[in-house]
Amino acid sequence: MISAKPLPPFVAGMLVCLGWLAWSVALGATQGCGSRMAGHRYGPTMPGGYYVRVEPRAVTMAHNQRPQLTVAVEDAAGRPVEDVLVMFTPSEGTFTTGSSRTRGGTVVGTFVVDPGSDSPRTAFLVATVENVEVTVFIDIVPVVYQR
Amino acid sequence: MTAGKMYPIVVLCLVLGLLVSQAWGQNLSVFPKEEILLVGGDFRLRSVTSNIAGANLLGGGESGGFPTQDSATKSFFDTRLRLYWDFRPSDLLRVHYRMEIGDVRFGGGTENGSDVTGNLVPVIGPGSGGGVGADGVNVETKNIFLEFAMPFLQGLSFRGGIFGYGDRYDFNILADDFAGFQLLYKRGDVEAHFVYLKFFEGATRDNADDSDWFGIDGQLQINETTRAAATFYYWLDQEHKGTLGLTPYQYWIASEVTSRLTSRLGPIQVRGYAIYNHGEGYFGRRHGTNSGANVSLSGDVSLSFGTAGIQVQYITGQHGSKLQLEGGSKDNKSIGAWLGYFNRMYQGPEIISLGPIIDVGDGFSSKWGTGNGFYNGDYNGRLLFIARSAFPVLPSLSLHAVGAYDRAAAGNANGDHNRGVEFDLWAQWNIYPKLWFRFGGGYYITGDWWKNNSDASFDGRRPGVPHPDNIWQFGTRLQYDFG
Repeated sequence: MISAKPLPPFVAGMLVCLGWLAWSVALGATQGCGSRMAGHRYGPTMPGGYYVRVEPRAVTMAHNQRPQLTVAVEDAAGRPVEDVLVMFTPSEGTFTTGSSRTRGGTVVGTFVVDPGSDSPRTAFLVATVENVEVTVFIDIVPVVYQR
Repeated sequence: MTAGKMYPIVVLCLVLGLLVSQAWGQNLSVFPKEEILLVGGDFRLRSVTSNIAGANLLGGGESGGFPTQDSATKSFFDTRLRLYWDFRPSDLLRVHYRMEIGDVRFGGGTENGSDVTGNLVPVIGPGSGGGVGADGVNVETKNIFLEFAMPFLQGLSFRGGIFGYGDRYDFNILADDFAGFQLLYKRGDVEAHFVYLKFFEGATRDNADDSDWFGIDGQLQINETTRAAATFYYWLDQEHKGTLGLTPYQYWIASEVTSRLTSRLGPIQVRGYAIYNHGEGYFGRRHGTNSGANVSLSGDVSLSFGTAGIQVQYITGQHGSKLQLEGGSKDNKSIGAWLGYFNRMYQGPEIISLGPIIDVGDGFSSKWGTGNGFYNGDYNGRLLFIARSAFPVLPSLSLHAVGAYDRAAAGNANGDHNRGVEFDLWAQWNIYPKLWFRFGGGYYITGDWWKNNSDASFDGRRPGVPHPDNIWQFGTRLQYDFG
């Protein structure tokens, strides 16, 4: 006779942890395979029929950091599209780009924000290509946090 | 699994990672020499004036202040310089060192206190510092860690050493610098990490538990406007292992959704989270279990002239006082209340949280309270309504206003729920790039919950004061960030 012994909470928790981590990694690894940028492709836009990728999709920063974000515009076959207007609207701070139109299929910009508060907060940046809007949530945390 | 068994695993992971990366390192892109070493930091000069001077170390120090009657006014300055060095021979490898000089208070008659993380903040008295013309410095290592990208899976990296950590729900169970390691994964729409942290009791902290923390957090961008996250934390209390025949533990399961909605007024950022907590430990001198929940929903709209938002937060609680709930003859207790060991998760107001004005523990943000981990030592839970706004009146100046209604979820021993109402007003002036000045104040009108409430006394047993003062504080902060 086999006696079943319940898993201690710690072991059960660790299994949940590892399962979640493995699932997350597997999901991320399958995203964007074969493309220049990982992550979901949004679109098609109207009227141009473009597809949009944003990298990174998750940003955690301290107020004194200046993260870069890249918006890539491509056609249905995944080829980069030139000279497409990309607009950015941050909920706070500023987002500065070298060009508002794609060069080499991308627009790269830098996000800068004031100190504002020591409490962690979340800002967002909306990247707009024609009628498609992609939101990037930016977690602004105290400098010492390393999450 | 004990901490002792974890160490070989950590070492094994390190060795494997280094071995593989050594073979793979032939293709590393190496930074130019001038980009290898990055130096930065910040200098802060801060002043605090308040009437929460009655709090003492027995009551949790200034981090756990309770309203008292006829409180004296307290005022002090402090200075702090933080420096960091980042060694980055390539974009795949990083060694980080951060130190702090200062965090020393200057002010006549000011007692030693504890900072927001529970560490002792000594006042250097006349003779060795603090007085006019006297010296006094305090040097500490804040962070020292190694971080590198794991070669076998793109987006996976490892961090180990002494580093800070803060959770996404801002209940900041850790929010300090502790030894541990972290596995991070970030690629595409997914961000996840596993963290292990060791709390050492002794040389650097006299109020920390000897315990192990395990956490895992994952985040997924669902679509253009929404992301979802899930978190699991497990805390193992090594300090009391074996006492009363058990090893105390707590765990937290949480989920968060953040989304951007559109409205006629402007975009609205909506955030909601729910956390369930369960554990086993000590209540009074008895063994017992606890279960609780913490839910929050907030919305902030971006207007053409600023932002405005509201938040509702509910934390489960149980009627009565610590004395009543922990007393009696039963060996086992079951407490229906939320527990957060480093609880500062009341975002927004200044006084009933660690607020944005001065970021000092002169509030009710007790992580110790009367020593059981429940907020301010009570089991009554919370219901909090917050209204907040920010207005950039000038390109370099913004005004912030906050109001909050603070209520216990369950009545105290006297049947009272009303904890109080708080108002805050503060300004942020960006004088030059990276040089900024923040000043403002907060006022908290104490409600009936505090009157004659033993949970609002320093030891959680004596009756509280019959007529607690309203609480106020005013702070200034001048800071220069560089690097």
